Amino acid sequence: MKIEFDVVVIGAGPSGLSAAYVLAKKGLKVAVIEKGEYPGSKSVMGGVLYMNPLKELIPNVVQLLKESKAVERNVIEQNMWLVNENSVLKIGHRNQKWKEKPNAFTVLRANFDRWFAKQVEAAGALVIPKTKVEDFIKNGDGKIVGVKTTRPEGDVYCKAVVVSEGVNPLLTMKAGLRKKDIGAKDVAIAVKEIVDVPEAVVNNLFKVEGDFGATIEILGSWSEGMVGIGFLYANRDSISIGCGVLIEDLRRKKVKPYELLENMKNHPAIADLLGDYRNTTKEYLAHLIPEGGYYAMPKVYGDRILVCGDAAMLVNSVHREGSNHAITSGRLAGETLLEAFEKGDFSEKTLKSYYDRLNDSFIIKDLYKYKDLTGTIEKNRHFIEIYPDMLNNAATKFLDVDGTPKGEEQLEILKMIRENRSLGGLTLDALKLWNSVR
Amino acid sequence: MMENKRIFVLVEVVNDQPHPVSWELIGKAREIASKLEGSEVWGIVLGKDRDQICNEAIYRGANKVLYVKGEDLNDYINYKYRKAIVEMVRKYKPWAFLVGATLEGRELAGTIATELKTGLTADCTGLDIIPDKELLEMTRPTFGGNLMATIMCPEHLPQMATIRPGVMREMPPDKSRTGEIIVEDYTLPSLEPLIEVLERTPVTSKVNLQYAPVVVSGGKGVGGPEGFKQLRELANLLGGEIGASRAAVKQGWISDEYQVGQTGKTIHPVIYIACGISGAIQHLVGMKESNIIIAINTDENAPIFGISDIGIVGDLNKVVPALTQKLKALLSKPKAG
Amino acid sequence: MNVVICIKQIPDTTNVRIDRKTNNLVREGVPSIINADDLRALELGAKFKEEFGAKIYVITMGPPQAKEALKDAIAFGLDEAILISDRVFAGSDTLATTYVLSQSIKKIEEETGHVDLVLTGKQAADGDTGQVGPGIATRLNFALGAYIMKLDEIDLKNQVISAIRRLDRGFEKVKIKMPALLTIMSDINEPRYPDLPNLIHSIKYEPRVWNYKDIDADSKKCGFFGSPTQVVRANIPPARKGGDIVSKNDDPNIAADKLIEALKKFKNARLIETLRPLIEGDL
Ligand SMILES: Cc1cc2nc3c(=O)[nH]c(=O)nc-3n(C[C@H](O)[C@H](O)[C@H](O)COP(=O)(O)OP(=O)(O)OC[C@H]3O[C@@H](n4cnc5c(N)ncnc54)[C@H](O)[C@@H]3O)c2cc1C
Ligand SMILES: Cc1cc2nc3c(=O)[nH]c(=O)nc-3n(C[C@H](O)[C@H](O)[C@H](O)COP(=O)(O)OP(=O)(O)OC[C@H]3O[C@@H](n4cnc5c(N)ncnc54)[C@H](O)[C@@H]3O)c2cc1C
Ligand SMILES: Nc1ncnc2c1ncn2[C@@H]1O[C@H](COP(=O)(O)O)[C@@H](O)[C@H]1O
Repeated sequence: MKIEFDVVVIGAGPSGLSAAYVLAKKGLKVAVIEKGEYPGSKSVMGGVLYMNPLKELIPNVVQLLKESKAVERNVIEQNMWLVNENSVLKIGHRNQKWKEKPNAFTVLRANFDRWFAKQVEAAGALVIPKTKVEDFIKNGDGKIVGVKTTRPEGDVYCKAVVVSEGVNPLLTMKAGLRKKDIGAKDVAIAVKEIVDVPEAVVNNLFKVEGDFGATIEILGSWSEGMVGIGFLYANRDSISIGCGVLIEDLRRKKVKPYELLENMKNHPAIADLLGDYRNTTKEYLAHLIPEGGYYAMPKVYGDRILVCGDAAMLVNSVHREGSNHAITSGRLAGETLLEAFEKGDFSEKTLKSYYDRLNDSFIIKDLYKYKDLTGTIEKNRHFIEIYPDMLNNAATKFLDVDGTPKGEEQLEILKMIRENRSLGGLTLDALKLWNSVR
Repeated sequence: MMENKRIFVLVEVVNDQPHPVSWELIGKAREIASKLEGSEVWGIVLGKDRDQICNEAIYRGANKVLYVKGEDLNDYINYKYRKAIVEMVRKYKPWAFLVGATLEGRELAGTIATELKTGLTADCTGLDIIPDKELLEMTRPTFGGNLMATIMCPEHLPQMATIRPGVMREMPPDKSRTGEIIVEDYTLPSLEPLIEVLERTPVTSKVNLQYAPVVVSGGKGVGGPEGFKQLRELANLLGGEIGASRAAVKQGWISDEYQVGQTGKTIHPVIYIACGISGAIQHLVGMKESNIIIAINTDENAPIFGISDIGIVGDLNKVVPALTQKLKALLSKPKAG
Repeated sequence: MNVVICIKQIPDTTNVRIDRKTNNLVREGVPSIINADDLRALELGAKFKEEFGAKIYVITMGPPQAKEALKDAIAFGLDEAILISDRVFAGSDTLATTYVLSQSIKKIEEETGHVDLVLTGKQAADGDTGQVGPGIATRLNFALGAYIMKLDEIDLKNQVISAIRRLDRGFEKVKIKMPALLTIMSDINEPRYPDLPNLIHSIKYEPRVWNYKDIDADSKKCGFFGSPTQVVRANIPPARKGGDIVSKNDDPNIAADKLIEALKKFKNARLIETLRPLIEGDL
């Protein structure tokens, strides 16, 4: 029995599911092949999911999500903590508007991906779990005509393939779209724990109520000078706590990722906030994030094949916007293929329009804008090492009542700042910094 | 209810020998009877030429023995035993019925309880009386030992339980104990033969991990396939089997049939000897329910010592052969003081 | 030949965690799997289908999500799966469970004319009772072949099964009359990795669902009210504590002596026949 579909999607992450959704909605025969036990079973995400890209895919998604258990809390407040050894400077933004019009939700991927997969199935696609794609099937001309899976009698034939395999681009390489594997400097490793915290306590800690939630990003001394960002996200009755750092940094400093996370958890500011809940870990996850951005992108199209999501390196540097880029790129891949099916032409020439779409969308603009960011941060380690420290010192000086007359104190701060950078530059830097990590 | 509360204990006979669990259960039943006014312990013996065993049941603490004497009942065949025992239960109306949780015992108890439409608590590790209720309180592990469930059977008699061998305390035999032996001459009605035993073979199979009373297990510390030979020697001496950690299996020193743990076998032998095994959680889930855990490891901080009953810090390559030699010498000596 | 296989969906017990604070079993996020012995029964069913063209039915009594287990079972290439599900079944102990399952098997018998063989696992890894198989056999008055670890032959003409079963005392080579119920040990085979066409079929497959009326069950015999046993309470056992380190870097002979001395204090060691002289001699 020959198994045939119009399109095979490799990987049931946000990008693959988005592509499948678009195609199935229009009545194409789509199979999404996922190696995990179920969609999301192995995936890790810090846990903030922006609504915009999803709305473009499923217009009433916010309503649907609210009725489901797929998301945790509606984020109405975002915080940035700059920490040094024993103090913390907190910057926060709370927005009433987000209560009515949710901007982002905290999510646990195992729940969200499964929910998303259900929508995709309802749209008519077939999600095949526990099955790994090993290679492509090519015809005499070397054109891709299907995929080989690990199952007996596991060949699946199709007219086009969407590769949405995530950060480890084995099939992208097999398709010849990426020449060499991603390097250590292009990937960050993120470790994350989910700690059990009763709902009422989460509300209390994050000063929120009901379904509302908040996030905290943490920068500074905990990362020991490495390029990294820590985070705390409020889930319904748990908290996601984690951090991401460049692998190269870890190697250089010979630190293990979980040691770093312990380090962060034991920073006085976090210890104070979480108390014993730091040790109620119920899940521990580690995962790679492609950070290479613009320069690390593979060729994302070819004859009968498109690449999207993390596999295409569509993630912002040290950034938590991966899934939204994944969703948008998946949607664009789907739309490109719809056009190809109308034309009946799946050649590289037709599929190139996927790249143009990416270019027109915010994704590549974004990537391009930040293309040097990891580099920038690396070159200007003051982002990580000096600023948090300096700002905290400034705050201490300002607020400590140590008998020094006020005038002198302020002079001292000014002096301190002037010695390092201009005041304006400092404020701007702080915002830039925040912008670059959120 | 003023009539006597009878606690039946099945005396399991294997190759004409009583199974030790039977005495453990009689011991336990005596303890329960002492808390329950007007109760007595009955040993149930099936077969022929079982007078010796009937006597021993009394020495071991049974108040009475019900000797169901019949040609057909010498060998355990489920449908025959079921038939005879159900009739006896209907006739003597016991208050409780305890059976050893051997494979045979569990099969038998399951069929009897179903026929009697009463409750059965399987594989118990604890038995007591719920004081003001005069009911049996039966405790058993579930979820692979992660949870202990306490169960009662309030409205049906007899309250039935199978009890794991090795957890209850037997009473030393005392020939001065006396008790009545009630002989029931029993002829099995003609039944359709549902199952026929063609051949019985004692256990000698290749890998016997799950039923071995002793498992001598080796890990990465064993150092190579050669090292398992000394473990095998100790295991053979004790009538046990060898086991292994995944690390040893992954090295190719031993086949994966021997692996104990999350992705291997879950076992609870009477004695588990962990040699050169660090005690990773994935290993522990497979053996932590063993009765007695002995660990031999060079690293005194190895986590295995956190759950072992007897810990030896030392090189297994030296300790294991020494232990084997000592035991050999001790066990071959005639039983003296 | 018509075969019914009873399977149970259980939480993966190797993944069950305990919340030491609340002393609760954390089942959330714990994947559900088909009981390991039952997978072997399914594999056996698949082989019967290939060998004899047997028709294989899979049933499970459980909540709606147990459908997933049935779909996984269908991926073995089996014919039909039925979920036996009803609120009145909730809280069933083994007696009530065997009642519901045997009623369901009778219903299949009605539909198909005859059931020749019922397979169950030896034991479910969550409850660990091993009673359901023997109980169903008793209720259906089928021959019971418990603890089957090898099947030698199925003689359809004479309606006998030759098999080897495992007991504590050793192995029994037996002939079992059909109709029979066999409980399957996990050593019997290795479950297959279903092929893709069967997997796809199973994803699309919708099991039938029967409630208590469908199987002509008396609701008083089901669920909590039909269960003679009641769980009074459930406790998390205290974590096993380590005992003494009896010897630290001693001469091996001394270490061995200390080990044996320590062992003598454990009365349970007398369960080991070879050690009995040693232990009793010192009692
Ligand atoms: C710790 C961490 C925190 C993050 N935080 C955020 C955040 O807060 N917000 C945000 O938007 N993004 C975040 N991201 C990024 C986000 O998780 C990813 O960008 C997003 O999941 C990418 O989606 P994807 O579909 O491309 O890949 P994935 O989600 O990785 O999906 C790929 C799928 O393909 C499957 N697969 C791979 N190979 C095969 C094969 N050969 N055959 C079959 N199946 C295969 C995999 O099992 C997987 O399910 C975070 C990432 C990490 C690691
Ligand atoms: C999903 C998963 C499933 C797993 N399933 C299993 C499983 O089923 N079973 C299993 O066992 N593991 C399993 N593991 C692996 C497990 O995590 C450990 O890696 C493994 O148990 C370690 O084996 P070990 O103790 O033999 O080796 P190590 O951890 O390397 O320990 C060797 C020990 O030997 C000691 N030693 C060294 N030399 C000597 C000597 N001469 N004398 C005495 N002691 C010595 C050392 O001090 C050390 O403590 C699994 C892991 C994962 C991730
Ligand atoms: N709810 C159930 N539905 C179907 N089969 C079951 C159920 N419970 C137990 N079984 C079967 O009975 C076997 C033994 O289970 P247990 O007696 O609970 O240890 C299992 O391996 C299954 O084959």
